[in-house]
Formats: sequence, C-alpha cells, structure tokens
Amino acid sequence: MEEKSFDDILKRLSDLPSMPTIVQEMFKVTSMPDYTSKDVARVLENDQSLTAKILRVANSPFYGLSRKVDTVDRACTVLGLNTVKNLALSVSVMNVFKSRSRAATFDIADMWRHSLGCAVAAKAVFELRYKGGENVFVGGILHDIGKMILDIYMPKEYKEVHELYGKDMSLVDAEMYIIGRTHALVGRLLARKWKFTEAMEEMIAFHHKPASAKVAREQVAAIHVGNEIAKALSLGKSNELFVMPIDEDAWNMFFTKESTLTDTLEVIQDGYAQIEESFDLDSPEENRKGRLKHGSK
Amino acid sequence: MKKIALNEVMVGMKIARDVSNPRGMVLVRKGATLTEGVIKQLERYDITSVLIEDIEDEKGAVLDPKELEKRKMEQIEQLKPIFAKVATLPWMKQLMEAVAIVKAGRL
Repeated sequence: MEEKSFDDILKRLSDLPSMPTIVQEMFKVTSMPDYTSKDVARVLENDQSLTAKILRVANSPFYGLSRKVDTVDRACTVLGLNTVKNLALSVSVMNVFKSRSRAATFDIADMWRHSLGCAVAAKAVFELRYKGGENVFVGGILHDIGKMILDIYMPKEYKEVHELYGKDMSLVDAEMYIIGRTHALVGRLLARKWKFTEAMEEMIAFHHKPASAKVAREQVAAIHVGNEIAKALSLGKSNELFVMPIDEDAWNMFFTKESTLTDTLEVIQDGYAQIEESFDLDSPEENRKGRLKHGSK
Repeated sequence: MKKIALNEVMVGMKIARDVSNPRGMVLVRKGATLTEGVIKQLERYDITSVLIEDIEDEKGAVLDPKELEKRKMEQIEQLKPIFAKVATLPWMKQLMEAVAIVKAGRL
C-alpha cells in the first residue's frame, strides 16, 4: 500500500516545477571557465524583481556592508560571487514555492522563516570550525523543501500527517505512516531533478540523520544541528512542535565543553533579526508562471 | 561591572577584568566568556569570585545577576514543553539552558 502511495507521489511529482530559467542560466554561466561577476550580473539583471530582492538582502545589516550596493556586479565584488550566486538561488526557489503554496497544512511564510533561521544557525555553527559557510546557508534555506512539495502536491495526505503528528509520534514517523516516505526524501527528488550538487542533495536528504552523509558530512551535521537550534530559539515557525534529539556526534563536531554555546546562540539570534526583514516573506508573490520553463497547472 | 561569587556565575557571562592567581599569573583574560571548563579551572585555583561585565535586558538596562537567574528559570519553564522529547540527553539539556540564558538577558 505504501509503495502504491509512493508511486502516486512520483506521478504527481513528475510535474515538479522546473528550476527557474534564470537559475539555470546562472549555473550555466558559473560553470564556464573564467566567468566574471559581469557575466553573473548580466544574467541576473534580466530579472529586475529578482535583482531588487537580492540587493535588498545584500544590503541588510547581516552582511555588514559599510556602503550600500546598488548593482549585482558591485554586490559580487563586495560580497563575493559565491554569496551572490547563493542568494539568487535562495530567493528564486522561495519565489517558486511561494507562488504555488496552497497552505494546506502550514503557513508558507512561517516555514520560510524557520528555514531562514536554520540557514543562519547552520552557517554560524559550521563556521565555528570550518570556513565558507555560504553553501551551508543555502542548504538551510532548502532543507525542508520536501515539506513544501508535499503541501502542494499531496495536501490531503499531508494534512492527515499533521493530524497524526504530536507528542507520541514524530513528524517523520507520521510521514512514513501516511505517505510512506519522508519530506527529506521528497526534497532529495527535487534536488536531483534540479541537478543540485551532491553536497546540497545530502544536506536536504539527511538533515534528520546526519550519520548517513557521505560526501558532505560536516555540512550535513551543521544543518542538522542548526535546524534544532532554530526551533529551540523559536526563529520562524516550523510545522514541528518539538525540538528533536541532536545526533551526539554531530553536536560534538562543533561544540565541546570549552565552547561558548551562549555566544554562538547570540550570534544566531542577532543574525536572524538582521536578515529576516530583508527577505520580505509576508509579501504576496507575483505570479511567476511565465518565467518557468514548463509553466504549471 | 559586578563582582560575583564563583558558585553563582553562569556559563556565558563575560569576564570584566583579568583573573590572576596570588602569584600574579593570569588565569583568564578580560573579555573571555565563561565556559564549564573555565569555571572548573578557576575552582581548581581556589578563585572565589570574579568581576563580570554588565548584563542587559532587552531594553538595554543593566540587569542584576539575581534577576537574570530568575528570568533564566522562567525561560526554562517555557522551553520545557518543546524540549519534552529530549530533556534526558546532557547536550540537549545544555542547549536548553543556553537558550534560556540568551533569552533571559544580553550577557
């Protein structure tokens, strides 16, 4: 029965949104040798609404720029190409799902706020030990993408999941019981369809079981820890009511007896406050169907 | 800056002045954050009190350490329901306490 139900998901997921054209173009440009910030700017500036959003976030106090940036090219120079590329990806994916959400089981803006909280927390945790938390930030933004897909494509079943979920049954167990697959696996399907990097796929697929990660162990552990920290600090509002046990190995990767957990939590709490408003999550999303390759139903 | 007994300090508090042993060796520098390890080390050297930096409430007013302790306890009560599934794990308890301290005041 579960298998049949999953076949059903796969069928419904076959019309998962395509990766936004602009992100496809950006990936194409950045995979070429010798690309420059001008090339990235040329692609992104085709979409003025996206450009405005990227610049809004880039100018938030989170990035602490001393002077305002007003072009993508300038943002690339000041923040680095990777940061801008990741912001473009985050903002575009948010737009795709915001415009399609049916809000059958949760408020999409609340869910994105939780994801943003996870992103800020995971980046801060990762950077306690490693450099370059930018990819982890995007991983945090995207880690629960499977929930959004289930909410859009299986609203009836996902509502049942939420009715079952509670103190005695975890969300993941309820998903297994009703749908037979977890939101993490569903997210992984999108990651594959959109040809995300293997590390990104693992951050989405294994954020509840970091020990399964193979290529991006540290990044996945940071997402796993950041996810629970975001819930503990009530950054945004996940559809999960409880803080779940953090894997001990993942925890020990970043926090020792000597580490200053409270300092890290303060950095996370402040960082979230600095960036949250710039994402403008409550604004209704304009219909972007025209920009999706295959459109939607 | 406030003098506070070592048995009343909280993890996360910041040291306001260098702590030295009687022979003048600096044990903890000004600006350092108290961790479990640092507190244990100070105990080993028989340090009984330290000077800590002011703690502020959300409006920026200076908070008495006793008031901070009270607020922390209130926060813990609020956090208990969402930590219900994990409270037995030592590192999750540590996380819950740290969240309570951060929400109680600005250290």
